[in-house]
Amino acid sequence: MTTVDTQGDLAIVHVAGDRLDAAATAAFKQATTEGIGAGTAKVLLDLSAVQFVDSTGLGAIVAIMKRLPASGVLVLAAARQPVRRLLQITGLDRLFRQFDTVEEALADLGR
Amino acid sequence: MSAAEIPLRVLVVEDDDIAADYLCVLLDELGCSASVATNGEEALAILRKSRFDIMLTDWMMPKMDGIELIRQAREALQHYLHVVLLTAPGEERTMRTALEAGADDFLYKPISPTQLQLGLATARRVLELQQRLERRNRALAESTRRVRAAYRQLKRDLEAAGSMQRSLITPDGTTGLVSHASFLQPSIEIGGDSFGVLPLGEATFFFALDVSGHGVPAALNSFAIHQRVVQLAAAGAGLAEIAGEINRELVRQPGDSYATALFGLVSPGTEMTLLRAGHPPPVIIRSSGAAEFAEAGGLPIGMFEAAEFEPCSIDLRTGDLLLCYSDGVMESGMGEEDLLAFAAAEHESGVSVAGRLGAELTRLRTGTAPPDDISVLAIAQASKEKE
Repeated sequence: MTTVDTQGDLAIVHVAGDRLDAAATAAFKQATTEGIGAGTAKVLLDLSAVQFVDSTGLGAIVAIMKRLPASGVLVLAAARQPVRRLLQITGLDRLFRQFDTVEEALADLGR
Repeated sequence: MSAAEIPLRVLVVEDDDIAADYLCVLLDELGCSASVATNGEEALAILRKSRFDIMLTDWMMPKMDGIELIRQAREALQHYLHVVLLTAPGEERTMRTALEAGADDFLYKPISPTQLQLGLATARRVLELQQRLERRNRALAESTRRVRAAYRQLKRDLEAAGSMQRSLITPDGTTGLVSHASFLQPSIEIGGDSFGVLPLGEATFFFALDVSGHGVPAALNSFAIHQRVVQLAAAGAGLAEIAGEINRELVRQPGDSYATALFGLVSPGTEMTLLRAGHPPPVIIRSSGAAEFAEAGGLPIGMFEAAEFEPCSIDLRTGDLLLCYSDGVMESGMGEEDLLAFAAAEHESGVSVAGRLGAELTRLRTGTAPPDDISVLAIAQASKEKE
């Protein structure tokens, strides 16, 4: 199950399951809606377990970004090649900062 | 009213008048409604005409004995009848034969009031269980019938919606400057994929759409966007304008729905203009057999209000093909490298490459339904297309 760790204004979302598709997205949305509160300004999405994201999964990731305040930031960590390619095709790689590991992403966020 | 309050309807089958009268008096005292038959044939005739809960039958009777009566009554009746055989103690072989014929219980002659009362209490419990079972079976059969009817209705509606959606799709052929062929396979009857080719003055406009998700919600959105695209194009909007306008309209809709799209315009004597909005990059198949992705493009439509859309130019020469497809192709198990190799090998197939790719995907899935909607549209210059 997808879990959310909150540290001050940072929420770290560990996405569980190797597919973020129509079947898995409902649970992902619920976990992120409940776990990411109003005080959150930075979200780190740990995608290390995910091999495949479909159009509904991508919509759910974008929905997280839209809920953040204007100054908010969503960064992606450890996205695998198929997921990176999807972000590239949809032009989202220009909107999200991406890091190879969760540690690098945390360092960039000043943690 | 509970079953306990209804008087049990008992048929006494007894050739001896005095014994029959005695049983009727006892049954009457125990609150039962008793009738008498003096032989097996009469008993069967009465059972066929009126419903009884219990049959108390003697064993030794002229013409038809009690066991034969039980056998025939079981065959003749659809409903449950609690059958009690009156016999003498020690008649174990008779009791076994009677059990096989369908007897439920035994009473020993001479019948005492207590014995009869106990026998009736057992019968009442069995009858109540039996009635409850029958009611449940009826309720179950009724709900199964309703679920089946609802399912058939849904299936008919889906099929009707599917044929409406297919009627939007431009059939294979030549439209203005472009010859085209397609392959469309939704994961269920209807889906979020759509495309169209239409003449626009001297030019030819084409587009492909994939609304996020699949099934009915995606199909409804896809239907609406398809018609909006046609409307805007017919009104003279450029590719960037069409993408921008639909983007604004979709962003204002509630929910996370968005679409990936590809818009193209083929004008006489110039290069093709293409706008890729999040849609998988189409493959340009050169007549020489080389294949490459047309990568230029940006965000899907309906995701961000501020998104900007910019068309690019593609050099599609005579004999070249443009192969547009939705991401359902990848979900069928064909990666991008495999797709390029397939496209290159098909460089002499002309626009029929669309159908051939569809068939190859079906083969890869060993004939199973696709997990996501698949649409493929192949485009070539009409007049000089290599056959």
